[in-house]
Amino acid sequence: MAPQIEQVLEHLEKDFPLSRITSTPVEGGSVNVIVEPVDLGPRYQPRVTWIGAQLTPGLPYSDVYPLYVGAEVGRVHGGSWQVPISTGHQFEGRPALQISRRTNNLLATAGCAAGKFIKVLHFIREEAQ
Amino acid sequence: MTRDVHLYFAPGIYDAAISHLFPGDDAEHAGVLLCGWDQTESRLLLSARQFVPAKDGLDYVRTEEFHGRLQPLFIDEQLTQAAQRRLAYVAVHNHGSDDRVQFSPVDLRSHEYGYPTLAKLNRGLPVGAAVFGRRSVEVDIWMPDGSRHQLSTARVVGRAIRHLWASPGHAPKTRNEEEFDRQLPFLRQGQGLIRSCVVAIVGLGGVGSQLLEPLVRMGLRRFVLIDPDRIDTSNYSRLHGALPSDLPAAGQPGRLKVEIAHRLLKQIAPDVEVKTVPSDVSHGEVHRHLLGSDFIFLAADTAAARLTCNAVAQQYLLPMLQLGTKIQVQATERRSRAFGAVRHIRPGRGCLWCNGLIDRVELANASKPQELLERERYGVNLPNPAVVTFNAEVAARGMNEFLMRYAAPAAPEPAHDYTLIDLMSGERELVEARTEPLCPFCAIDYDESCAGLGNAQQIPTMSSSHS
Repeated sequence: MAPQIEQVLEHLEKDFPLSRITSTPVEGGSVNVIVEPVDLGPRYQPRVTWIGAQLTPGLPYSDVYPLYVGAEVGRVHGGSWQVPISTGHQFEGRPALQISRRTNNLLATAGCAAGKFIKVLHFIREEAQ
Repeated sequence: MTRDVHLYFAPGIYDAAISHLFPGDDAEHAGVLLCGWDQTESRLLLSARQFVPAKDGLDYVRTEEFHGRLQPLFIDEQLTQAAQRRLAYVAVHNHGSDDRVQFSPVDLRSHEYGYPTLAKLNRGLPVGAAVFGRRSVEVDIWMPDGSRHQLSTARVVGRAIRHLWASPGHAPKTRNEEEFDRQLPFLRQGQGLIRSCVVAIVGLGGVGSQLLEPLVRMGLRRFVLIDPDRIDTSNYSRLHGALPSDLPAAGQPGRLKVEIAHRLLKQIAPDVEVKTVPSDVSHGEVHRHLLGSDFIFLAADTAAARLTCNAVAQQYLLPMLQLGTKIQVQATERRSRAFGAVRHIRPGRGCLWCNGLIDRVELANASKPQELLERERYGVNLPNPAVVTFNAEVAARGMNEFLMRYAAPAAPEPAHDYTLIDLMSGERELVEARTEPLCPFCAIDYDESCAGLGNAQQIPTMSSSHS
């Protein structure tokens, strides 16, 4: 496993101390990672799911993009998904929602790459307001 | 001794060294340059990362024979820095000369006495000395294998590039060749610089192929050409030098673009030296072919090529121009737009990362299989439009920027980093690029930056990246 990917995984372990971090190497030196469980907050039903993404060898310069959460979650008050959330995807064999959020800042560290998982979770929580 | 050292400076480091060495008192002063380094088949590269001034009377004292000497404690501190950061240690002092300088016999005896030991202390890293005149530099670098190297050329890579040598006799000669009779009155000394310049062109497509004929006709004779692609029927209209026989036919793939470029250069100038590299610059060690060049034209349009070449330019202090065109086609023709960009990248300025010009999603996509990208993609993804005449305008501006910045020192120093061209109206915007103080690539005063570090830091590629 590329050292820069290992560093991102180490940061995820610290950022999500109560979750399991599952990593699966895939072709091209990338690694698929799933963080489980994660809490999307009271506006979602079920509120607990997983979040995942592919970590690529271009890290820490490449973006962590896109991210996925479990397809089973829905908003408590209903409503269809809007861009940048799209339906009908799979990640590691699991039905998934895809969240296509770009990173616009220029910080390029393993900590920032791991932080993208937190930022996207925050975005999903806020998006349901 | 081999005269193959290429010593490159960012203007700030060079100015700091010169102001310390020549404060106006005609005395000798000293310091240490900590340099990134690397070796190719024909060059020992030194990129000055830091100048550490030696305090007169404390770090640098005069002996009874009036010879200056760096003190052991100062030397030890700088050697420790060099070893920890995997940099070359180069002790510097000045002589009161102008455009020619050489080590004194006492200097050379002290090198022969001290550097074999220092080379061992610097854990397999180069050690040595540099002596500065006001407009000249000489070096004596000792490699771990015992070989000694002198200066081929030094450069201050500013908005315009300043070339320095140990003496005018080492500058490339301008020959009175009838072939260049009309441009010699303008270029003068620059014609010699052009003839000896090794130009690397990354990307031999619509823009890159436009560079070939004017550059070789102008007198360039040494090229490194990097592109993994083969010609396809859809790019025949834009590929300068391509012939119908190069196109794919009867199950055979099209000819490699670097082969087409090589053939064109040889037809125009049979004495041209061309190294063709049919590989992606962002893969593995391919970028090392850039290290033997004096100037890079980046005409490849992928984020991965930009990432790797931008890192090479900043880490080795190599000047680079990034050239590209972009056409946005709208439903109504009146709203369509076409832009060109000529971006000058040099130490601490114009960095493609600082200016948000390396697409981080595209970098992530570069490692993914096509089938996964299709699943992730939403929206329409059409091939980028391209027009040969637009490419020609951008390439021409790029070559003139190269000429003004590299080989025409009498030209007015440009105040801008980027030229953005509206290819439909002809209007130009001259842009001063952003510089982020904590940029991992270009911020030479930021400890975590790779600027000037040479081989002490791995160049990011798609098969390996920074740790």
